[in-house]
This record gives sequence, structure tokens and C-alpha cells, in this order.
Amino acid sequence: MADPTPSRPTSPEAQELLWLRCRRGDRTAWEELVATWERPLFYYVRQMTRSEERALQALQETWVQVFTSLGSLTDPARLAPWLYTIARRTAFRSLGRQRDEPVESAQADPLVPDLAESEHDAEAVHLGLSKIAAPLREVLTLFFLEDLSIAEIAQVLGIPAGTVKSRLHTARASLRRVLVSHVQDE
Amino acid sequence: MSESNTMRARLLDQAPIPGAYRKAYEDALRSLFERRLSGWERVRYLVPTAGGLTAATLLLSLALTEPATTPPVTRGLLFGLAVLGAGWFAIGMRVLRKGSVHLVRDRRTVVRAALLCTALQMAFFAWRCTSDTDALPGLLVSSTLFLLAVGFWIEQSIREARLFAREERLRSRLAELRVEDRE
Repeated sequence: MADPTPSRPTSPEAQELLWLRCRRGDRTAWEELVATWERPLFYYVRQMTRSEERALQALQETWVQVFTSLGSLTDPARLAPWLYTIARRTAFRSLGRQRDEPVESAQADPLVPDLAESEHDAEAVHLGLSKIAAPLREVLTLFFLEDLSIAEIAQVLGIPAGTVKSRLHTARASLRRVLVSHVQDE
Repeated sequence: MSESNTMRARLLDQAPIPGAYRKAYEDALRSLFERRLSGWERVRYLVPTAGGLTAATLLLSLALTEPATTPPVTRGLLFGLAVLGAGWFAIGMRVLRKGSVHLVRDRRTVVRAALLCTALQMAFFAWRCTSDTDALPGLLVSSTLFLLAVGFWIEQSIREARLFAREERLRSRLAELRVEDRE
């Protein structure tokens, strides 16, 4: 059984406070920061690198980066997007890849219920995510992890919020198709 | 817990961090705070440690063996400098025994020790200058070192005070938000 992840500091003030405590060298604040974000960040880089070994390496490098550049965070109330941005860069470095792959547009299948409203199985979604294109997988992973708003996802990915929305739409449609074909195969 | 939260938790359970890795990972994180000393760094800490011990021994023996006619101020200064040498020896030994330095705590100690050390040195040379002008270069060097130490100390104090004040403000704000939520 996986370790429970502590509740996230959701308000900007709580995120800033955690950042401040870390800057002051408070060891327990670091433990809190790591315990809160290690699992979602690991899941994110795991989805990006598609390799457990690379993801673990990227996660460790992410924390080292966070530790060394904590003072450079200009808006500590946006701690979460900053963490994901560092994790993303580290994951890309481990892949030796700098640019996103092109995203093909997809139409949603109106006969399949919306993912957010259905009682879908996490395991199927997890496997389904691994079968869709990398940029779609990335945006949908961030969406499912629920740590970031659309604007913050846009900030992490370095694309406009409108593009995030359209990419999410495409990603949901792709995942839906994968899940439906998975069910049909069974 | 909402469905989406359950979904998040379930997804995270699909990719647990391996236990063996967690141990190595926690060690790596700990090492960020307690940085292990390299061989060269050990030598760098060994020099002031040995210097502190030598200075403390010499100055203490001088303070104890000076003739009875030695002014009490001189004897007191020799004792003071011996204590300072012993202080550097203690700090150096602590770091060398641990084999690592704590990025925040040890830095604070070193800055304070440097400030005290340079202040005493400057006071010593200033006192010597009252009777011997040859001590003037020593006063100039020790004053420069003292000003540098003051600069580091002020910079560190301001940074820590700012962070502390900001933290207090945030804690108050969070307490207010909690009250508002309850209402």
C-alpha cells in the first residue's frame, strides 16, 4: 500500500508559508514539502518519461533543483506550478527532448459518457494514459492530479490557456477511445 | 472525499515510489541540508581548527606565564583571544567530527564567530596603538576584516528578520482565513 500523501496547501497563503519556512531552513517544512508533492510529481514525471527508473532520477534531480533555486521563486503563492515546471524541465532533460510533439485534433464521441462524470477505473485510466500521445498524456495527467488550475497548467506547459482547454478536450477524446476499445477487447 | 479526489488518490496509487528507492532518496534529501565534506573541504576546516588550538594554547600559556607586572588589560586580552582560539577549535572539531556542514545553522554560527573574533582583534590592535604606532597596520587589517564580518552579519540578520516577519504575517492571515471559513 502506498504511503498517504498529506493534504496539499491549497491557498496561496499556505503555499507561501511553506516556501518561507523552507527558505528559513526549517527541516520539518522540507519534509512537509517533499511528503506533499513527491507522489504527484513522481506520477507526473513517470507519465512523461514512461520509465520508473528515469522518473525516480528525474524526481531526485527535481528536488535538488528546488532546493538550490528556492530563493529565485518570485511568486511563492504559486509554489505548485513552479514545482511542476521544474519537474517538467528535469523530465525533458532526462528524455533529451526539448519540444512538444504535435497534437492531432480529435472529436469527442458523444455516445461515451464524460470522463469526469463517470465511475471510471483508475487502473484503466492509468493504462489508458500511457497509450495516448505524450502532449495529451501530459495535459490530462496534470488535469487529473488536480494541483493546478487551467491557467497554471498553461504556465507549466508554456502555452496559452485556450490551447490547454483544446488540448484537454482532445486528450479526453483520445482517452475515451482507448478506454472504449479496451472494454470492447475484453 | 469527492469522486475526483478519489480518482487522484487512486491514480497516485498506480505509481507508488519503491521502498528501496525511498531510503536512498531520503538520504539524498538529508544530504542537501547536511552536505558531506570532501577531502579538500576537510583540509580547509582542519586549518582553522589546528590554528585555533595552537593560538588558544599559546595565548593561554602567555596569559598564565606573563610577569606579575603585566597590566591586567593585557592579561585579559590574552585570555580573551585564547577563548576565541578555543572557540574556533570547538566549531572546527564539531564540523570535522560530523563530516558535514548544515547549510543554515553552521553558516549562522560561523558568521557570529567571525564577528566576535574580528571585533576582539580590532579592540586589541586599537588598544596597542595607544602606546605603539607599529600596531597601526594591524589595526587597519583587523578593522577591514571586522567591517566585512559586520557586512555579512547585517546581510544575514536582515534576510532572516524579513523572512520571519513575512512568516508571521502569513500565519496571521491564515488564522484570519480559518476564522472566516468557520463563519
